[in-house]
Amino acid sequence: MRPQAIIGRAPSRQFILMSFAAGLGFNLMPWGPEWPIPDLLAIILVFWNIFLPSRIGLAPAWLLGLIMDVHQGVLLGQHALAYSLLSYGAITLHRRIPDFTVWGQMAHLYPLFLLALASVYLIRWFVEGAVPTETLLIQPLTEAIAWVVVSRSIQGLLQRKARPSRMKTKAGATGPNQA
Amino acid sequence: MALSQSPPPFFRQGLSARIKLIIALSAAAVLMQLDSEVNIAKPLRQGLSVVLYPIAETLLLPRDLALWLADRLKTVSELAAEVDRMRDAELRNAEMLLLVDQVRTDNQNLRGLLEIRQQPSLPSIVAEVRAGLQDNLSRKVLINKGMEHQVSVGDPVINSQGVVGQVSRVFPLTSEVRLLSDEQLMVPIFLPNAGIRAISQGLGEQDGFQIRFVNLAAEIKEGDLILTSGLDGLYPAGLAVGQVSLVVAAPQGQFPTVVGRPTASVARHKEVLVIRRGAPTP
Repeated sequence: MRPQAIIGRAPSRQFILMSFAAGLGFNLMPWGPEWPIPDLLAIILVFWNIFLPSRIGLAPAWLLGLIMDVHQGVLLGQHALAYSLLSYGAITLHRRIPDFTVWGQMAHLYPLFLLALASVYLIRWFVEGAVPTETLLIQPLTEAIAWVVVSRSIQGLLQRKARPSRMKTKAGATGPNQA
Repeated sequence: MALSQSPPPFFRQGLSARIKLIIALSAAAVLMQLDSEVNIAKPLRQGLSVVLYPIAETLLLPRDLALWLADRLKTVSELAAEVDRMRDAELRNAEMLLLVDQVRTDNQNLRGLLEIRQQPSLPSIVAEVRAGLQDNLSRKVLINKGMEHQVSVGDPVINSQGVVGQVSRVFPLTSEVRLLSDEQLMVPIFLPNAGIRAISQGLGEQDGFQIRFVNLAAEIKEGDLILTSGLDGLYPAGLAVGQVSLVVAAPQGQFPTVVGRPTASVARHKEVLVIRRGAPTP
């Protein structure tokens, strides 16, 4: 039996783009290296890979990875590679993950985020000789925790979109909440 | 799946996921190879940084506002104490300045007598540290001066306490500074107490650097002062770099492990000075 939470309306292209823009904006903030800040863009990407694999596949993942590479000023292509792996893993797991509880989902996604981060660290190690730190293990954990929040809120937004009152205003009728 | 309204296409399924993954991975690998050989991403990064600059500044606004408020909300007594302290420092500095002035003219005369090339006064740019870069594998900060202000790659960055680091990348409006604790930054140093020259290399993870290739016979103690040696012609000689914080003796014939702590803290002192190397020297 599928939980009620995942039944929502098909998101518009605009909605998906906005979610990516929000994730990118979060990642672009200069957080500083002290905290293992989760990669929000990767989490949103995984969300769409899991819930909408027919529309968001490897190509958007690759392009978003490229943007992250340009932003971080690292060797071009390493995030593209990491996000491709992430996306492939998420699409492979997309039938399993929604059926699990929060803990089950986190248990699935932790290794996935770990794999993506490890691929980046591996490339950095080869190219720059940068030795991986304990962040390698901690950041995927924060990402798995952030996943719960992100997936709940996107689902919440989609369900909000599905309310009849909002559908009416969209059709052009003047609803009470348009004023 | 739950969110798609139409069933997946039955006949036109396109490439299999595995093939797509292989294509994506090899494209990424090719790109990495290309980028490491010819720096194709540079114009892309320059452009993107200009586009992102106002966005990043907007995102920083709340933080700046909070800092500004915290600064404003100091009590009168705190301010008075600070004014007292500064007046005290100014008095002491005035004395030093006088001395420095004297020494400088003396030095110039002596150099003239000895026919040594005069040390040029260093043109510099005042910049503000905007943020630390979110990259766990390096130690870099962003400053708010860039190409527009004639900052160039390789310029040394200092503050009132000593050497901060070196400009590693320059964008039109901002630049990136590699800190002393970054693994990729090495600075030629001089330890006046032991009387030796060496090279510092950042530790990457912790805030500190190790001192490499020290003379095996040198006696280095914890607390020793570390200055720039100026051997690379990049950093002016005699700037404070840090203090020795740890010395571990090595087995016979190997270099001892010496760790230093930078004197200049970047988080607390937000104003830095970029020394322009590109300026014409006599």
